[in-house]
Amino acid sequence: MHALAHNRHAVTGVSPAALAAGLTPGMPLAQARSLVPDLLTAEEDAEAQRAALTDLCSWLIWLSPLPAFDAPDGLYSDTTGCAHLYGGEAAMLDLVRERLKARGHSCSVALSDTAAASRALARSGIDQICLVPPGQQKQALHPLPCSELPLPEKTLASLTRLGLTTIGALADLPRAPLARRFGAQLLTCLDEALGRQASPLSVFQPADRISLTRSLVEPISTPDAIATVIAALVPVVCEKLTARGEGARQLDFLCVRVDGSIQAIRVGTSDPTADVTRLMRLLGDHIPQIAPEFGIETVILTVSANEPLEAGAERSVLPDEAGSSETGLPATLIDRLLNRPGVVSVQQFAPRFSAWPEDGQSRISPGDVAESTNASQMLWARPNILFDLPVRVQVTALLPDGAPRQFVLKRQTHRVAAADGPERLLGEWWQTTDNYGAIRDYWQVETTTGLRLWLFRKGDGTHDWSGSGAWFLQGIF
Amino acid sequence: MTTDAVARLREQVRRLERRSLSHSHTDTLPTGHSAVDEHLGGGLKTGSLHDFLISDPLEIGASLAMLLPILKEGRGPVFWISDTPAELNACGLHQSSVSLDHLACIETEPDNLLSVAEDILRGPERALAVIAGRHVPTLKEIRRLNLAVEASGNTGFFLRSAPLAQAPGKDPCACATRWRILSHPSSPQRLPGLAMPLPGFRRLSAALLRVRGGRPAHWILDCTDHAPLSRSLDAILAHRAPPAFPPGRLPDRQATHCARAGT
Repeated sequence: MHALAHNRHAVTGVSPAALAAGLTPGMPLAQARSLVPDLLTAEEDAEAQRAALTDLCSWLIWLSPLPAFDAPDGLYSDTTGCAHLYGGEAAMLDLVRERLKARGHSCSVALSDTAAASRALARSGIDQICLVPPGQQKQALHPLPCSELPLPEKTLASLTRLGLTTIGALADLPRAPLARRFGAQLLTCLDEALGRQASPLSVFQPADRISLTRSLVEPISTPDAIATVIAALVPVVCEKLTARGEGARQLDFLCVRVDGSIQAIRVGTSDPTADVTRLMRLLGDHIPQIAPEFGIETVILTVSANEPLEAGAERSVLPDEAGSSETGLPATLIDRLLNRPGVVSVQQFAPRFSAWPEDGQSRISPGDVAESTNASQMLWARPNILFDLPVRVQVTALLPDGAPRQFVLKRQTHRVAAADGPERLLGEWWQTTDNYGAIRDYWQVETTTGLRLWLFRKGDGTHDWSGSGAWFLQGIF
Repeated sequence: MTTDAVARLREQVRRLERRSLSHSHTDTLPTGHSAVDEHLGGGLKTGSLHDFLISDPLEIGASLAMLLPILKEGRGPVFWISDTPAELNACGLHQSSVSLDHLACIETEPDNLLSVAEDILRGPERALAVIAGRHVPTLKEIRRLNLAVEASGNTGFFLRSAPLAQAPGKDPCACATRWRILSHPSSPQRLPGLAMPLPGFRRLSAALLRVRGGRPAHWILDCTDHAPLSRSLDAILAHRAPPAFPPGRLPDRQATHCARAGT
């Protein structure tokens, strides 16, 4: 790992193998390359590092509720009052190191009275555990070099020039000359490390799931009671979502019954929303699906998927008469239908280019804006009703390739009064071999009673290779 | 005292006539056939239910020929609710100038058909619903839906199969209108050189079996491909005629053209 610093590339991080070869962080990259000719390097990616550190920090919340960053490569955790949960401080540090190792990190862990002292101790050596008993951080810090303190480069250089290499030497000096020579920052650092001055940590708040749990005073079982509980929980969830500027895409509502089993319902929305009435209605529609049996004692409402709310998605308060109808289907209604029990499917149609009419449309889920295909350019009329499976009919025609004169459908004879055609469609010979050379002749016919139907004959009526010559009914105009 | 009582009575009558509702100004969806619109006072009323009886599965085309222009007129999202997959054809609907963006097909379980329809019709959202199912709704179910559409102003259309022999359509009806639309033979165009004449404009035999507060009627309707002209033909032609110029003076564009031709 290397990064650009002061007009040259410097090594910022090394693997254990490189460390064994004699490379150290801070070394110029050219020197490192001369030491190890086949060195594999990668440029530092600050963004990715920060993301990884954030991940690790939110993972660390198992240890204590107060994790904090020590950018760029350290983490604090305020474990006051947590050690007994893991069987003592030493066991806790072992556990931390073990778990970090399991995640593939090499680390050094230090525990002391102050965050600054722990930081200096942890940074003084790789892969070690350091446990300082209460009140003894001065002794522990005594032999450490000054460079472990978070001091600017310039101060460190002048300290080295003066021969003040360890923190112990620094701490033994009188304070007033130090302050006059190096400013207040050095003393602040020193005081923080030695516990003379408290330094606040910027505690990291992991963006966890919004989840609300309510234990009920007594078990509930009626739909009204469940609706009341939902009405109490949803506004709180929406408030939290709004505070984050996010909207829910999926909600899980879990009901823990008295016997410990869980009844779960899940609703999804087509766009991120933090609208109380909309979410309440979505959940309310599912109440009949909950079987409370002996009663529900705990309910949990979790936002299992959330997305940032887009700016301007705010719905207008006034009911707009014409405006909403122009923009397609209403999202709230589509959500309700998609989540509704008893609805098999909600679909929209989109015309598609295809040889056979039965493949000529795709069913898409609502909201997928269909690109306008050139259905308007179709020369021939298409029926409104189309059978995916054409119905076989018996047709009488004067000529084998001529117009139908009468046909029998379900033992009923229809005489054809007028016919328009043929519209010849060719099969998609590039798709399958049995479509090769396949021909259909379509006729729009009107019977003597005025029915308008769409009939087709397989084949062109003269050549056997083009089709069998059987007639089918495919659509109704 | 007496004015009080009269006011109270008026209020009662208003409530009975359901004029107290917010959208009491009755909007109508014109059918596009002037005779029918005249009879119905502008077209099919919104905020009500309309019943279309289909006497034969093959006759559904005739009902659609009547219904699709009305749905287009509704300018709202159309929900096609059925308990079987809808056999609609996108290309055909597109040619009937139904906007596919505004059409959603909903397939439900047979028991849930009417409850889903009620959900859509009751909604706060504007919607037109076509309910195509085999189930014959009872009066009670229709009245329930009626309350829903009255509250929201949405419009519902029943498309249900009712064979002529079994259900003549005379039974009581809670819908605003009940129709039985059959296809009627058109006048075919005989062209020389064709063995079969070409079908003419589609002709419908539309029977208005029941209408709330009106008389049943029957029409033979011609469905033309083009929209009816907004005014008489000579008026349109007169409007399009080039403006009369005083003699000896050409408009500028032609004048420059002549000048260039002269040089």
